[in-house]
Amino acid sequence: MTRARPFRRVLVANRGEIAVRVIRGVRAAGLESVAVYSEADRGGRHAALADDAVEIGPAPAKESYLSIARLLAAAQAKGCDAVHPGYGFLSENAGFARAVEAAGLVWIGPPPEAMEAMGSKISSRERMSAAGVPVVPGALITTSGSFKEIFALGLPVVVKASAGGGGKGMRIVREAGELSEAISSCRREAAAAFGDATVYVEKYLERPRHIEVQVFGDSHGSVVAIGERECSLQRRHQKVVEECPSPAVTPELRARLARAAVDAAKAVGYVNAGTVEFLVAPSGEFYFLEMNTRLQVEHPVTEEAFGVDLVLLQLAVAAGGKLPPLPAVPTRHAMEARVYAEDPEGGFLPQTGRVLLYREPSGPGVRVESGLAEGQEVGVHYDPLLAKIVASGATRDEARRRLSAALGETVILGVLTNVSWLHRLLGTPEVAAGAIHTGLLETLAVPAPPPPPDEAFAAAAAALSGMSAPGGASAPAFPDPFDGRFRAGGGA
Amino acid sequence: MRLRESATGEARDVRPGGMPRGAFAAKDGDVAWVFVAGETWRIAKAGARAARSSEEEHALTAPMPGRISAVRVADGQKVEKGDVLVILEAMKMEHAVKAPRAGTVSRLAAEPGKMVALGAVLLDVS
Repeated sequence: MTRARPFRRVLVANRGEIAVRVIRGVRAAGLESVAVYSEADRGGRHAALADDAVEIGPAPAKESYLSIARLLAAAQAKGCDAVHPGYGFLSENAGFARAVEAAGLVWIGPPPEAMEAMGSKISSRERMSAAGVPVVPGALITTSGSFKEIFALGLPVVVKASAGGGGKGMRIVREAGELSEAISSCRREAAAAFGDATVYVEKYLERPRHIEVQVFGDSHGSVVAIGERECSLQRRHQKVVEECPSPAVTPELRARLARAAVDAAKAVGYVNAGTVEFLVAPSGEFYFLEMNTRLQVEHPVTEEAFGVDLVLLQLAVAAGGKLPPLPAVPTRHAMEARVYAEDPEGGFLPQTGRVLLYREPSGPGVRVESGLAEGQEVGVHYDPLLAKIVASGATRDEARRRLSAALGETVILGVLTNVSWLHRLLGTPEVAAGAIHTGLLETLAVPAPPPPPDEAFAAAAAALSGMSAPGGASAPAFPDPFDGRFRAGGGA
Repeated sequence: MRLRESATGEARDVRPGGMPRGAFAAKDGDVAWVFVAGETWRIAKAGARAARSSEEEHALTAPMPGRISAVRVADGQKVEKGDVLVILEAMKMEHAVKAPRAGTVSRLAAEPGKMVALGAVLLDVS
């Protein structure tokens, strides 16, 4: 049985903004979509948008979005013939891909063998090294507890989860005494997030850029690179702002990165969308970091800069189509800001709450990827990423100014988010100049929020006295998130 | 109406009127969530939050809602400032609750696997 073949009804095995994104792509391709949702996501935006939706279990992800049995049962019950995993959850789980294929469904993603080859950071390093792709010097952790090999790399080092992604579990160690605690906490986080406690250590490069290459392969043997994304603005190894193209990449470096990324993908027989991540030293030397065998969170910046639709390409390639000719260079500049439920003034701790009022930005060059709706409960069970605000323009500065303006228009009340912090971040001279590296946000002085003006107290008094009753007093019911009827007007 | 901003503690007397131009607000019990010119604040009726009692001063509380993934101490144990006491996990992220001072652990309420609300008392260090 050939893997790639046409399908018509796609189970979208995810939630939140990425489920919304994929459902839109499936619809644009003329196909049908089936959403899944947990008890906590009843009436959620992704479920409302899909052609059909199935409740698959309780709030904890293990019993819903991470349950292969329940997802496959949902696909079968709704007559789906393909599965799109989104990112996170089971998207990089080769066992899920195999189970999907064994059930006779098309897996909209890379072959499980390629996922496995890249899924372990330890074995992928070895394969890449053998394929001639440069890797960062590293050491494996043995259970014997000897750190000799690790110290031979020289401090600082970074402890990473072998099954990891998104910086989860990652710890930088600058002093020998911190190593043991870093390893055990990385193991715990890795076990909780990925079900695999294997960790490894590699040399930590100072002030590198994180630059990644979008690759795409089809089932006819073509593999291409679709430019790079600059993802150096990270906090606690979580990307915060991404852009395409990178302000640091010359046409010559772009060509070298593209060649290395295509070599990496070809070495594992890669098909469909994937991302090859590199650390780029100030000298222009670069090292393979890892390959993410799925659609990436920040894929929209590539789409906006290159004028492509990566989800449509994923669907076409999974159905057996050939890759169409794609642009070799970006024609626009695009920037994305990730909206997290977190408190920037309180150590960026995750936040929960009910969304009382939500206003999305719009305008030329502005795109919003969001799973958020008024009335929705933002809980502790899932990733704190609520939405992505993307802006594009003819130049980097135009894109940055549009993104800044869009963030200034984004209103989320009821749960603390980083929106205004992102707005202030984009105005710093370092970000405006593109002079960024992965350690920048540890030291950058992002201006503090101003004290509340008179208008803020006046607005609070109006809301609390019931003289103007936007949002809270008649907070909308959770269902019906798209319908404006229940949206109370605050901006009188 | 006497109001207090939650982060800075700034208090003001305000006469309730209409909603200012360009502002958004939502009521959440005694707290108003307010958006003005790109920034968001929480402003509450003054006196809505009770003063901390002396017993509460020794208590360490959950800085975020989440699940307790590890408890590193036992009742009666002596700890140094900066020791990791409890590890909380929420949204796949770990947060270590560290001892703010040297002392002895008592009233240990944190249990591995338990879900806790923001502000729930985990233990005392005194």
